[in-house]
Amino acid sequence: MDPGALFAWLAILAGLLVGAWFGYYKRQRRRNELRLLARQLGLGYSVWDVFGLMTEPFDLFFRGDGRRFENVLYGTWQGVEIKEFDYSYYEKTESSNGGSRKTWHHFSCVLLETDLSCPHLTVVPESFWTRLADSVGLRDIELELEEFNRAFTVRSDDRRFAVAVMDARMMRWMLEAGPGWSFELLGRRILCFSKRRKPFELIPLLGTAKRFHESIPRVVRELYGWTSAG
Amino acid sequence: MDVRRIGWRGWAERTGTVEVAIWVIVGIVGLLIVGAIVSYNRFISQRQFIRDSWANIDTELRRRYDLIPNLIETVKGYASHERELFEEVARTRAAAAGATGSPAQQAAAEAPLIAALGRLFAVAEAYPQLRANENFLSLQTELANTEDRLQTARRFYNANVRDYNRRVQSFPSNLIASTFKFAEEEYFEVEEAIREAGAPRVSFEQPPAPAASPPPPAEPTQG
Repeated sequence: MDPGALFAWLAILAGLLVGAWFGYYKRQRRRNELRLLARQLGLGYSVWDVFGLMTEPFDLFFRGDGRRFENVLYGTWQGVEIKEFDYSYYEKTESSNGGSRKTWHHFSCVLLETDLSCPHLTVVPESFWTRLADSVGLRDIELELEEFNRAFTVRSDDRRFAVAVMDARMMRWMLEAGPGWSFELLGRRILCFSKRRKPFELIPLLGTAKRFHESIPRVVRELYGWTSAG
Repeated sequence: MDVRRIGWRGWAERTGTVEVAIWVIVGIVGLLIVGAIVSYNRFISQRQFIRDSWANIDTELRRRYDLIPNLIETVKGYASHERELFEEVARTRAAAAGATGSPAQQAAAEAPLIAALGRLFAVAEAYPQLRANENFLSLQTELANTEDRLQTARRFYNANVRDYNRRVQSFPSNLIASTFKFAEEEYFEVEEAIREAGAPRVSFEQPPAPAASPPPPAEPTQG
């Protein structure tokens, strides 16, 4: 074999090995940091999904392929039962030369239990596509605060539930919290998620999920079977 | 094919272009008719949603009217000299319960009742024994819950009206609205009236034990 070609192959191999090692190192470092964070917060930690999170029927968990749940922190945080975890999936796009490309999407999620019996409700930040849909008349659920309508998209199987949950206080709080957070309610679960966050940035995510849970108006408990305060 | 020799008409006939054009026109007209039917039916169902959500408001208003006589009787037992206030609450309740007009008229009739109830609860604040009365506390809680449900029902009604009115105003659904006379609906807005009059103030704090000196006024929470 030509020594030049051999050198090139070796360089490629070395590059692949370095890449694989770097990926492994990053993953291990995140696991260690999360394990430490879990210990500091008095929570349990599991590298893998031991709770069957992938069976939860949230829209987020039906997107793309290669869904992965890992780094689960679980237990009681500030009086609330939580499960915090990393979630990722990929979307495959075909390129013009016949190949395909995977685009990974990574999220940090918090799952809360509630005694509320929720119809499906999603509250996510507005995107280019939702704004486009709005402009041609395919509107989501519009609420009385125009500023909120511009910042968030609200969809639900039950409009009355959506209107009841998203009262003026909740909308004002969500506007103050900023557009980085998304929420999905279904059955007895509340899912709060954002783009993947560094371990030390997870406490605001936990706080946001807890605050959302607490901000659900009292009347919703009465109308939708919340039997005990959250 | 020489278009100059046979002309556009001849060319179109020979190539079947006329047939294609006719089918395209028929397709477009068909789509417009289907679109109009869908839009019309959506107006009908939206109007029905508005009626149903108004019925929810009406149910909660009736529930509130039903609670008021008991409330008056309970307060009377402790503050019998506030006769004028009791009469005012009873009169405004009767006027609100008798209002059967539009949402705006209903809102106008609700405002004096809300103001009178606000004053009734303000009076109750001055009677620690009344505030400790179980019946009064239970009525307060029920009234607060009814107010919450009423507010939710009102917001749902207004959300339905907002969606409907937007379609009445925007193109192309406004063409269907004007053709079939779908007029804009009224909102049910009592905020202004409540702000002016002061909403019924309902406190969930435990009343202090009766004492020789009057207790400090509790911070009331709105129900």
